[in-house]
Amino acid sequence: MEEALIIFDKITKQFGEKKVIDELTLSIHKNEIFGIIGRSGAGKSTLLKMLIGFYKVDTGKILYHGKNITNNTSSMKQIVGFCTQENSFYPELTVEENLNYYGRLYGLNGKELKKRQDELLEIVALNASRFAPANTLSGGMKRRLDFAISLIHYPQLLILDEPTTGLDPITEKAIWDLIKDLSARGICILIISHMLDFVEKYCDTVGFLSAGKIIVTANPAALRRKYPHKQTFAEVFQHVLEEYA
Amino acid sequence: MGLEKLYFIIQKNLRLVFRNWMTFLLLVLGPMVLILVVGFAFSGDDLHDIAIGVHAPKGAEIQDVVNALASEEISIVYFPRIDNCIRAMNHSMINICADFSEDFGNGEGGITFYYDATRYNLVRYILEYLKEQIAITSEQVSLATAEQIFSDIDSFVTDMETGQQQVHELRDNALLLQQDLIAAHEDVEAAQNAFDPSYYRIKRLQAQLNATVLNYSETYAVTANLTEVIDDLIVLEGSISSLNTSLHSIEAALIAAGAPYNRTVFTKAYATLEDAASELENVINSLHTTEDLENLTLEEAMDLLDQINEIVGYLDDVHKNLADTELLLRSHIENIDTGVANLDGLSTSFDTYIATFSGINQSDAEKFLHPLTATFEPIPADAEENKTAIVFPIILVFMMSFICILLSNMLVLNETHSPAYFRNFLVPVPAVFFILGIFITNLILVGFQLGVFFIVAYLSFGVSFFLNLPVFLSAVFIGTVFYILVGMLFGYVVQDRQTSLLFSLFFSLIMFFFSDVIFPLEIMPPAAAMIAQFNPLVLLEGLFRQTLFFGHGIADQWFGFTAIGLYNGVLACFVIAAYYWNRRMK
Repeated sequence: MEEALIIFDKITKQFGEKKVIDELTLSIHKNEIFGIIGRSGAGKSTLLKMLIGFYKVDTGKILYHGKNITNNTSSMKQIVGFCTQENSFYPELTVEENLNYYGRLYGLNGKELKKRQDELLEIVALNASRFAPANTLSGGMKRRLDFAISLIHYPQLLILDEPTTGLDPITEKAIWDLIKDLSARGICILIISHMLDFVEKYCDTVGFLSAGKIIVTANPAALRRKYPHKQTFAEVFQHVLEEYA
Repeated sequence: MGLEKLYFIIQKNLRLVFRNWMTFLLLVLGPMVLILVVGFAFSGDDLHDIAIGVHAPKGAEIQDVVNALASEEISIVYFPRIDNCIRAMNHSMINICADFSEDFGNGEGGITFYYDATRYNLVRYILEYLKEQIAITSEQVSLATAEQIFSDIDSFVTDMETGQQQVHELRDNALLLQQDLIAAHEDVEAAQNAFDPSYYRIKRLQAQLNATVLNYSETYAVTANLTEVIDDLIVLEGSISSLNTSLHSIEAALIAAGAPYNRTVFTKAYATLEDAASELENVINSLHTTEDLENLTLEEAMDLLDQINEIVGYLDDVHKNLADTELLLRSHIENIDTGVANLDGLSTSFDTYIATFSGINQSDAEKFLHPLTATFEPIPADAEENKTAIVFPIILVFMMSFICILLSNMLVLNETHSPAYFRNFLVPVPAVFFILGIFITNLILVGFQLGVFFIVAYLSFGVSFFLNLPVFLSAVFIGTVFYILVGMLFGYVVQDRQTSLLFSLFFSLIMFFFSDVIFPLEIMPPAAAMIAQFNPLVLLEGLFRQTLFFGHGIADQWFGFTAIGLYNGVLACFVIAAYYWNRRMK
C-alpha cells in the first residue's frame, strides 16, 4: 500500500450535545477509490463538509501528506475537488466558459488553464461540446462536466457525493468507468454512495460509517470472502452494521 | 491576483446577464422607452377630450360663461336636468356638471359645479381650468363695469374742466362789467357834480323867489340883479344839457356792458330834462323881456315863481334819478365783487375736484380691481416650458429605485439559486469578492442604463446635467449604491424568488407612497412628514433637484449626502451579514 494521502486522526464534530463525528480515524491512499457507506444520519455529510472546510474540526487532526491541515480552509480547497449529487456549474455558460471561470478562480491562467481545459475535456469526453451551453448537455455529459470542473485545479482528492444519482443505468456505468479512469490517472477518490453494487465493484476500499465512527475499513472483495454466505454487498453491509451495533 | 478574480466574477456575471438577449434588450431599450414614455406623457399640459355638462333654467344668461368654458378640446353638452348630467358623469360620459342658477347673468347668480371626486388627478386639472375660466369671465365683467365707471369719471372731469373754464370766463366778464359799471358810476358822479351846483343854485333862487313873493309888500330887497339871475339860469340850462349828454353816455355804457338797468328811469329823466330845459328857456326869455325886476309886479313874480317851481320839480326828479342811478351802480359794483369772490371759491373747488379725479384713467380699472399686483415668476425660468426636465428628478429616483432594487435582487437570486452557487464556496476566493462581484456588476448595468437614460433625456427632452455635473453624478452614485444594496439584501435574506421580488416591489412602493411624489410632505401630518423626510427617495429627489436646477454643491446638501451615506454603510454591513447567513442556510 502506498503512503496515505490523507489521514483523519480521531476527528470529532459536535453540534450541541450531539457528537456527529466521534473520534473518526481514516486513511486514504493515493490512487485509491475509497467508498464510504452508512445509513442516513451516520455522519457522512458532516464528514464531507469538514473535508471541504465548511465545518471546523472540534478535535483531532487532518493530515495531508503528513502535514496538518486541520481547519486550514484554503489548503483544503486547493487539495480537494468536490462533486455534489447535483451538478454545480452555470447552465447558461458554455462548457469551456465554466471551466475557464472556475480555473481562473482557482488561480490558473493563460496556457496552463488552456492545457488543463483540453486535458479535462479529453478525459471527460466533452471536447465536441466545448462551446455548447451547459444547459444543452445531456445528464451524463453534465455530470462529466461537473467532474471536470471539480478537477480543474489539480486536486489530490476528489470527493464524490452520490455521483450517479438520477442517471440512467448506462450513463451510471459510464460515470463509474470515468471514476475508475480518474483513479487510474492518479487521483484519489472518496465516494459516498448508496449504490452498493457499484461501490463493491469500483471501490478499492470501503469504510462503514456508523454513529460518527468508521467501524470497518476493508477491501470489498475481502469482505465478500469474509461473508461468503451473503448474496449481495448490501447484505454484507447490513451484517457488518449489526455486528458492530 | 485577488482583484483579477473579482474581475472574472464580474465578467461571468455580465456574461450571464447578456447571454439572454431579452435581458440585453431590456437593459438598453428599457431606459430609452421609459424616458420616452415619460417625456411623451409630460410633454402636454392642456386639457382635452373634456365634456362639460350644462344645466341652465330658462332665463339664465349663460352664453358668455359657456363660450368662455368651451374650446376646441372642451365640449359643452346641455342637459334638461342636473340629475341627468350627474348620472352621465357617473358613467364617465361627462367630466363635470355645471348647474346655473335661474337669475344667472348680468353679474348676478351663481354656478354650482358637480365633479367626479373619484378621479382625483383629473379633477384637479379640471377645477383649475374652470376656476381660471370663470375668474377670467368674472374679471372681464368687473373690468368692463369698472372701466365704465372710470369713463364716467373721466367725462365728469372733462365737464368740470369745461365748467371751470366757463367760470373763469364769467369771472373775467364780470370784472369787465364791473369796470364798465365803475366807469358809468364815475360818469354819474361827474354828472351829479356838474348838475348839483346849478340845481342847488336854482333851488336857492326858488327859495329867494318864494321869500320875495311872501314878502311882496316889502321892497324887493333880496332880488338879485336880473342879469345875475339870467346868468344862473343860463348855466343851469348848460348843466341840463350836459346832464342829458351824460345820461345818454351812461345808458350806452350800461347797454354795452349788458348790465341790468331801468330804461324807464332814463326815459323819464330825458323827458324831465327836456321839460325842464323848455321851461327854463321860457323863464330866460321872460326875464329877458322884463327889464326891471324891482318893478316886478306881484302877478309877474307869482308867474315867475310858478315857472321856477315847475323847473325845480323837474330838476328834483332828475336829481333823485341821478342819486338812484349812482346807488344802483354802486350796488352792482359791490355785487360783482361778491360774485367774483364766489366764482373764485367755485374755481378753487373745481381745481380740487379736477386734481382729485383727473388722476383717474380708464386704464386704471385693472388697478382698481387688482389693487395689489402679484407677479409669479418660476425659478428656474423655463420650468413651465420644459415639464419633463422639472419632473426628471423624481422620474430618475423612481427609475433608479425600481431598476436597482429589482436588478440587484434578480442577480442575487440568480446567483444563490444557481447550481453553481455551492461550488463558489469551494473556490479559494474571499466571500466578499462574490458580494462585490454582484454589487459591481449591478453598478455597471445600472450605470449603463442610466447612461442611456441620461442621453435620451438630454437629446430628446433638453434635460441639462451640466450645472454641477460632478455633484450630480455623486448623488446618482450614492443613490444607485443604496438601491442596489437594498435589492441585494432582500436577495440574500428572502431566499424564495417570488417572495424576494415581492419584498423588493413592496419596499419600492412603500418608499414611493411615503414620499412627496403624490402628496407633498407639507400636507402630510407633521409626524409623518418628519419621518418621510428621511425617506431615501425624498432625500435623493432633493439632491437631484437641487443639483440639476440650482447647481448646489455637496456642502449645501450635506444632510442628504450624509444620510444616504449612512444608509449605505449600514446596508453594506447588513448585506455582508445576509450573505453569510444565506451561505449557511445553503
